[in-house]
Amino acid sequence: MEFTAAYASMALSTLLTVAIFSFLFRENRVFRLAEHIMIGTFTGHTLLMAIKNIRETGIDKVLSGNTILIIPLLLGILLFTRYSRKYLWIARYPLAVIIGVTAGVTARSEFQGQIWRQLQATVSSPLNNLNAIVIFVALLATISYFTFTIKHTGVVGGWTRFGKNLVLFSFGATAAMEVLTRIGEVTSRVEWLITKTPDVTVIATLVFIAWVVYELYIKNKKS
Amino acid sequence: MSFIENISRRFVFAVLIVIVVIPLLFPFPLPVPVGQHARNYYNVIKSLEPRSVVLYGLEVSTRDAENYPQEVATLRQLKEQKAVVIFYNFFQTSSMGTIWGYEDAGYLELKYGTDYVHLGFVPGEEATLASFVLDMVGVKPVDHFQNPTTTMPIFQYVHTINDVDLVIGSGGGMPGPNSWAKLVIIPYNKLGLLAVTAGQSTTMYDYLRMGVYKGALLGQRGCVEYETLIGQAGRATQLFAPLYLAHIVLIGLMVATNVAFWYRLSKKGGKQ
Repeated sequence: MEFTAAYASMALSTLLTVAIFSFLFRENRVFRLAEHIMIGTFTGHTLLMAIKNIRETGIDKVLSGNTILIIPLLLGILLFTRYSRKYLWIARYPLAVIIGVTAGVTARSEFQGQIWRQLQATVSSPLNNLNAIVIFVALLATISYFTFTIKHTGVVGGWTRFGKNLVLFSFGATAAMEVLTRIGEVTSRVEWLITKTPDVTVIATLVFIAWVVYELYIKNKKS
Repeated sequence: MSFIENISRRFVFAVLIVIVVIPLLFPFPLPVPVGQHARNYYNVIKSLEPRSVVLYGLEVSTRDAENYPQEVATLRQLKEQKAVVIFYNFFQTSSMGTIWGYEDAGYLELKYGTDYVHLGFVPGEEATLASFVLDMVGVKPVDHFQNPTTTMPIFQYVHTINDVDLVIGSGGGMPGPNSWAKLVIIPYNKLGLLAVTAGQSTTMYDYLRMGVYKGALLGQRGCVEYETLIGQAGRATQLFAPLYLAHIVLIGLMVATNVAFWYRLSKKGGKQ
């Protein structure tokens, strides 16, 4: 295979992937190196993108005459006062603006999307199939579990325990689906390893296996 | 039975890697029946008129087995329908994944700025999205490649969300499809489609039940169904057998360890 910049980049990616996978055996220096490279790269990229965005959406527009944008830029700068004990209080003002704007923008949509429309769909759907009945009963039981104005004893206690179990059931389903996603991630990464740079993968895997054998047998025997 | 409970995690990882590698080296097809959500997703795109405008909120940062094939397959069908696509990213790492996806779907043959535009990462999360849909060019004056959006042919007739025919919320995190539903599809009563990871899917069923999203690709399986419908077996189909086998092995191990646990418990008279 020809050694090009693209190939070198893929080979590096392969080596880093195997280095990360080596954690499955035990934490080690190679894994830590790969981990630090990932965090460092991501931090550098994030910083660069942040500077680019401030320039594009703020500084460039101010320079082209949109002077009102000086206000958000100044508010942004004021956020840095939290690094000084003396002027820490100033940072509360830009923070208040950020929280206020976000709350104002999302309050209506949160209520409409997360509460009102869901209630509407639950209440208005006829209870003529098992799915609708399950949803309706589960809704009542779950709400009961989070109602603390009555004691959860006797019949009420049994009903709220049923609600709690439904919540746990739902968490279980979510966790199971998350496992599927993670297996998918592994599959796509293994596919990368065996198709893009099989030669580098073989070498890296052999080195990894040699290290495992050394750790498990030779080192143990010596000690 | 105690050995089952004491299986080393390293052994489990090794078995999983082998189970994943074998079907990749020796692929075999698996029959996957098409579900209603994927069929609805396909039908909604199929019903689009040529030159319909699609606002595609896309969060994909790697060539993974879920969001990435969902993106490529969706774009292939949108290309067939001659739809105009505007890409929007909540996360900075999604910009590159967007480019890989439309390159693989053959979008480089189309005219940039006329048939599609990649706005890239838009900072500010949900608050910015709420402003963006009211003034697209104002909020995003340059695209991902620093081209001015004001002079682009698309933005001569697309100014606000009212000029958009379809919104697709795709991705596996927050902000993502949840934000598209709350801030765009519900308040402006837009036609919406959903493409999410399996992990995200359980939190999205409510939006499907409410009819906010008309169709959905739920995880890799949803994408396999969709690839069957568009008649182009892609990455999701190719990587489905390893996922399927690994899942069976995991379920088998869970059942075995639970049986061993309950067996030990019954031996001790119910005490741990």
